[in-house]
Amino acid sequence: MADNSWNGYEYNCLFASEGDGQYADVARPAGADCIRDSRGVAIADFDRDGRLDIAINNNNAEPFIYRNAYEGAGEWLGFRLIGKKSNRDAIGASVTLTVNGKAMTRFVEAGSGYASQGQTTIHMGLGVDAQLERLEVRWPSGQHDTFEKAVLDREIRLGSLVTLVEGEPLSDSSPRPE
Amino acid sequence: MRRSKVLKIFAFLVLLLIGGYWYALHRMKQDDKHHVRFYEAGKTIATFLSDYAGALKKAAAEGDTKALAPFFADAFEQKERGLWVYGPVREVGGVHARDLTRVGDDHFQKADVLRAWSDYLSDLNSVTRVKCKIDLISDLEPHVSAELTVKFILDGTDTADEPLQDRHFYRWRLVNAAETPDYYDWKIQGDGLVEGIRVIRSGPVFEQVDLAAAGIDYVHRRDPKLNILEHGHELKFGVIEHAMGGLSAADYNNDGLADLFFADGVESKLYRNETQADGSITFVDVTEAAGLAGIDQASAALFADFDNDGDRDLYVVRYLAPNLYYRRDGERFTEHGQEMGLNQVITSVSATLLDFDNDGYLDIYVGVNGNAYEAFPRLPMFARNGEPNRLLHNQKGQGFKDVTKESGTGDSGWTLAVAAGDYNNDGFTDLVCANDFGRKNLYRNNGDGTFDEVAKDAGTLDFSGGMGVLFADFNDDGLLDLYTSNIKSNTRWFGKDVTLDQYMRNVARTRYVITDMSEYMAIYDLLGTDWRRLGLEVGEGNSLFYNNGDETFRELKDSHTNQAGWGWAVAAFDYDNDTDLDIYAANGWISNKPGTDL
Repeated sequence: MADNSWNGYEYNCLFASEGDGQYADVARPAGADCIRDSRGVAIADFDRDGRLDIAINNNNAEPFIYRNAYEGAGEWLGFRLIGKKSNRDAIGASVTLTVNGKAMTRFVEAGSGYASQGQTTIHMGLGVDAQLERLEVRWPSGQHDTFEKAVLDREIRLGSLVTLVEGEPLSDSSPRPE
Repeated sequence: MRRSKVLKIFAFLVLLLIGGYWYALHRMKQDDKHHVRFYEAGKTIATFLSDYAGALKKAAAEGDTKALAPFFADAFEQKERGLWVYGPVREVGGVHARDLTRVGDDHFQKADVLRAWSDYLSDLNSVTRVKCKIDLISDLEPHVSAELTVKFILDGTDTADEPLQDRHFYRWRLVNAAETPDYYDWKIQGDGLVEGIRVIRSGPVFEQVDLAAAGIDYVHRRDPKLNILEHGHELKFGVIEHAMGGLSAADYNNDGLADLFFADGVESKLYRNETQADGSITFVDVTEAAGLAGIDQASAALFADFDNDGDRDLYVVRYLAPNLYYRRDGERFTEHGQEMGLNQVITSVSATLLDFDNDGYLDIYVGVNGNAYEAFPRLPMFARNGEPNRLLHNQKGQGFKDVTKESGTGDSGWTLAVAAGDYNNDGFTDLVCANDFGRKNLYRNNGDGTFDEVAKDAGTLDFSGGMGVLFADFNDDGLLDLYTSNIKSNTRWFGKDVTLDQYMRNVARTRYVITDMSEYMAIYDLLGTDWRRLGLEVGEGNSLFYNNGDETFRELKDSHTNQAGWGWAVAAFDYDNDTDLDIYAANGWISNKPGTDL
């Protein structure tokens, strides 16, 4: 390899959703435009503040960790799924949460992007004045667990990590373990 | 009589063949010349754009557009050009954005266009970087004129000193003003706005963590066995050493905090997250204490509870060394790769987990590249001579069985990335692979232990240098969509028909036309007579596919998620908690001395 660059010093992109299939790359003004030769990217809420952070492994260089410090972030919920009949990590399970009339589906996965694994718990942004309406969990075993508004209002506190055990009723959500 | 007729026909056919051959050779020579002229002209345009970027930066520094003036033809004329102005501010994920739009339809001459640039620069406090690249040459008459779209990126600060980035696409008409034949002196003869955006900081969103303060002293090192200086003479595909750098943020010890494992060429590291409730991110290197010291040649790692005993085990993906399986017992991990049937040496670079038969145990799909010591990707746009990916079936936690063949998932592309998800909601997890020098493969799980490769029918072939892939439901219809990262090399113009033709002509004259015939047949099978668009498609960058719900996908080419760079990992996440998934896309191939980007 000659001593020059080949698509080197490229900035990473942060495509912020504008809705309706439109996105805008805001990496630079958002302060997340790592210029190294980035490879793996793992998303997780490292500091448990309800905002997802970014960790990056860079080829032949130091890694980057970007802490999410956005004060305008909406409310959130975390879901930790425990499989019984399904694999214990519930990989392949999906959670559909209806909030203020919008049904959002996220799924548990391990291994995507490129050579990367993010946090296994599901993180859901809820926007502002979030009213939870319905929660449906589909497990790889075929089990469906559905929880209606009354149960959600009683058992779930916004801004917490909710543990969902396959086939079991929702129990009081507790703060994340210390 | 009858015999002489046969002879006549035969002679005619021979003559036709000779004539056809001669004509083909003649045409090929003509086309060769045309290609060389096209390529040389393209290079001069790339240089012109780079010089223009430098001049704009100079003009900004001098507060005077005189450095820009020589780039515009004296006879510059653009009818109905109008002024380009930024529209109202809108909020996007904690950042301010303004679209650049055309106002009015005034005719512009050189003085007008310089004044417009002067006005543009007067809105900026400082300019730190200007990049101007060919997006696509749409028309080119070497030595005479060219029409192209230009990608323009400017980093700087506005008059309130807030950092901003401008990204514009222009249509430029260039003319060659050189008086001497065979020389180039491009001038901008006319211009138009395709689209543009300004993004401006409006407060903190992400802050870079001080690694030393956070307890992380890790620096990625490449696998010495792939060092091109030492092994270059043995390596057929030495650049692979630049590809590695996997990362896991799984919570390995189930304490509710995401930990970090860096897959490394020399010594992989596990850091336990010890961040306290009050905030500042803190990690502790527990590699040794956890029994994970000395893992070299690693490309990726996945933590999961493979034996359903309540704690997370570890699968380490390696390229030239046996893959590793660590079972977690108490505080330590112990290696059981051989006993579990997971110690294959298979030039693997990535992996994803799924329970493909829903038996309650996690299976592994391994993304396998080619063997850099034995092979080189044979076709740059459709290499199928990699090693097959592997599907490893978990035998109820007691071991793994290679079911690649019977499952039909042994993609032999130069796979870099794999992902798993049930895109057709039939209860069985499907697979997708991104192949470098090639296409995407989409494997639909039939629910009986077999998979069908359906990318063509699903519309997700996505030809390109495939680098990354993920499933996520971006549009909240309960169906998994696809996002892929690809190589966008700033030389997309090189993929235009004329140069693809040149590639084919070059190949047609070598013995490879025989060895690669099956690949050409496969390309034809996938694309039909449309194969010429391959040259354009491979340069289009990242791709976002929405799921139509009928086992097909549609690509959102205007979503503004394709203009990344030399792509790697991609991740979908809602960083501003506004209920919409955003995307992080890693970029960059090889950075050496600053300022020498090709």
